Amino acid sequence: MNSDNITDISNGLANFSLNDNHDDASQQSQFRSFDPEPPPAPILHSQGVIAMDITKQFINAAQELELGQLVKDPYFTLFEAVGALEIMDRKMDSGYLEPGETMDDNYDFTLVLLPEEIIGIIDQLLCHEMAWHQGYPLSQTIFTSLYIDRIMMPAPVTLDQTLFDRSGNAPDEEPITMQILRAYCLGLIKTCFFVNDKVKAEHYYEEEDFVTHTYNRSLLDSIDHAEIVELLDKTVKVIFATDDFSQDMKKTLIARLELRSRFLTAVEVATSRTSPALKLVWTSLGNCIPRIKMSVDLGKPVPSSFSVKLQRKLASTAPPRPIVHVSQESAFEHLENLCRDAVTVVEVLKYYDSRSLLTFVTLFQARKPQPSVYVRTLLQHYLFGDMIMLGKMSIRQILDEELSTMTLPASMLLDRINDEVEVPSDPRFNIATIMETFRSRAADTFIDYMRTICQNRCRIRRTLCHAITDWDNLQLDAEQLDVELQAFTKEVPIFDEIISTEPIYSFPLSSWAYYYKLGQMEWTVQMGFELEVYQPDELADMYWYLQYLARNRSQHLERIRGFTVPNGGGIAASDESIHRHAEYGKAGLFFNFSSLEAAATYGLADALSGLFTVLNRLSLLPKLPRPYGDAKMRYEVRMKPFLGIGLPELVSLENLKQLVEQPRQSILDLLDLAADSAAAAKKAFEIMSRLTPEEAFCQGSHASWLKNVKDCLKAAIFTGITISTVRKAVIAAGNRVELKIKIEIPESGKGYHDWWVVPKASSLA
Amino acid sequence: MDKAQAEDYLSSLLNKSLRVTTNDTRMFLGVFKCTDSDRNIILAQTFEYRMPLPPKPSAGKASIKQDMISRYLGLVVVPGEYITKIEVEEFASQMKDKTTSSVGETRSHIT
Repeated sequence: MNSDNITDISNGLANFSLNDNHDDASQQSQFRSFDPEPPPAPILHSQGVIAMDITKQFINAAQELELGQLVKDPYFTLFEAVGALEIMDRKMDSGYLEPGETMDDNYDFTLVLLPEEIIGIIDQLLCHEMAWHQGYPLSQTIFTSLYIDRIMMPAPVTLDQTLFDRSGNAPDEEPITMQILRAYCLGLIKTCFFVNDKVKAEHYYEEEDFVTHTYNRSLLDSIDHAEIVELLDKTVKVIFATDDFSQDMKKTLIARLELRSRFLTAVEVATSRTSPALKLVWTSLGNCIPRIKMSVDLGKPVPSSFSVKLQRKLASTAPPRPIVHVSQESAFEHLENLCRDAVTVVEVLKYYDSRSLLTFVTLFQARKPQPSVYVRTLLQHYLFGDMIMLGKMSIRQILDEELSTMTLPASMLLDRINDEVEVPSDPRFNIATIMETFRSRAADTFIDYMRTICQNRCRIRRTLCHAITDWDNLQLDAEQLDVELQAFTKEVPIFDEIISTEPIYSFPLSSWAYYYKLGQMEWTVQMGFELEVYQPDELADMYWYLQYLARNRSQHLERIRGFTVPNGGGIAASDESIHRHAEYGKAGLFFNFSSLEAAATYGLADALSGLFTVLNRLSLLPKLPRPYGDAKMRYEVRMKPFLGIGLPELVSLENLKQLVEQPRQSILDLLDLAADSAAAAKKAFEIMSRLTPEEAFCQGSHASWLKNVKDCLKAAIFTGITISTVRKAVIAAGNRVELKIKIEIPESGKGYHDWWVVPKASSLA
Repeated sequence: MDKAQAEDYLSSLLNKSLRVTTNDTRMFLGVFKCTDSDRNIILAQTFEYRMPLPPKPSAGKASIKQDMISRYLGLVVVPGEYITKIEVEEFASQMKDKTTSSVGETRSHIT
């Protein structure tokens, strides 16, 4: 016995040190909220530890203290104390019971349910599952089912331990309805296991996007999914064979088990990037849905098999919250969207070129409704899983292709042969070293950028605001490397008296970073329109800023172009070949496409800025009272993401006001200018809509890209229409102040395109 | 016990594991961090223990040993008014030198 004591104590001590370090060990990624797994519960009856009753001494001692006096651990702060959960407080203490209330539900698990009731429970569980996918915690959804709880507690190791009826007089043969329910529940929990695992492995926002908390419960970690699929299939056969149910009932029950079996298979297969069945598993799951939808009416709900009380048994400091009820329709809709998006997301694995990849990801994320968190984490997994892009490429390949498409077509800088050179005096050796420095510097920033696009819409914008600074720094670092490279490439600078008296070098690496930075700055402003960050009377300023950024990008493209034409003073690779021609061709296409796209952007932004300026002048836009702010403060808030950026220069508030309001121009002149810009934008979008997927760098997502361009085109056309309506009204009004016109600003999602807020003008009779 | 002694005594308990039982028969095991004159007690890394429901009469005649149901809660404050019992955990090995009557009683039960 004595030796037992010692082992117990040393075990206890071992546990202690583990527990203390626990917080550090489970440091999660910055994208997730802090959520440590609790340590295992200490065993109460241990030989090595004795509990002494000190009730009396404690109470007597506490009474001696003065009112308000505290005895506390010096390292424990009152600030921490605020976070403590108050026991016996019904709003905080999830374990508090009302007088007469019991902890358990006293649910009778020996009950044999009717097939209708099984359908009712299964359909309710599907709603709960989809609610979880939509961001509600398991505690308020799936974990409120008493049957699910029965399976999970205590955590089973074999399927035999999951029987519902565990009383001594349970029948030898499990009743068939109960077997159906059990098989379904097992499949459901295991599906959740795979989904939870995937989401946790990628970047997402806990509580904002998804709650991965399992309240210290194991989602059947120790039971293999194949066993469960087998049980599901076996149960289907049992239903076929039985005479207990009508044909209709059989079909209805089998449809549900099939859905579960397919869902489980899908989430298990989905993490592979090479499986040929990737698309198939999701389409076949999607095909199950209509049959289930049709037969929902056959089910009979069993509300008593769900309980809000179960939350008291979960490792959670949150008090019990009500069960979440998602309607059957919205649950089906979510599942349908999930299948549809999951089929599409597989397409990302088909690689065409780096720009097309970015186009795909951007457009996929802009889908409405936005793909669910699970599908978005699949996208991240396909993109960067194990740090291998798309499961087959290195980040270097993607970066090099980026550079060759934009700033370094057929360049010696990207020549793989440089890596082989081992003589330090050889310039190629130095080039390889510098390029490697650049790649390792740029890779993180570039991957962060792609990860950013995979987040929810609000987070994309928020993260972009920070990413801009990151790219600004990258641009500066790259500039240094560009200068270092000049010595080894013997680059011949361009002399152009019109631009500068200094020799002009190409700066290929920093040019690339600058292009990305500009694109993201534009995007930040555009996402501001989509997320309705700006008030109507601010739209003129923000569209002006957007066109300013797009124009800068356009000019930058011209500069890049000057160095990327063949024999145009660029840094050429050693060998002449067809390959070389192809790279120049691609860079040419990129220049054409991007210039067109930039022109369309600044054209439409210009038109809208002008239009909103006129509407502001005519006081046709709603103006909110702003007792606590002024123009300067608002300007600082709006420009905050750009304040630290050196290039392009920030336009000061005074200049911005002058440039936007153009006080010397008459209203009609402003409208004419805006009409010209809108027409130019319309033309640019029209040309874009006729580009081939190769020309538009949207291979693999041409259909959604084209839709996007056509939506922009519509926005441009209707901008023109509004401008002419306002123009007519202004002319008709003559010298009168009152305009017979009404302006409506569509909400985000209701207009032609979320990035283009086109006001609607209707004349008042 | 005067005030200084009381403070010393309570301070000596800081960072020890306390078992605090409330009048709803739940027991909280956690690290003692803070108390006041109303004996409100703050415990860190706390587990809640609850007696399971009594087994159904048909289940068996002899008394069946049932484990308490436990759950991790973290940082909690137990208001003094609900406290019915306070216990401190000591390692048996470290108590051999101590000679208080209350300890002697428990010691007999382990040796």
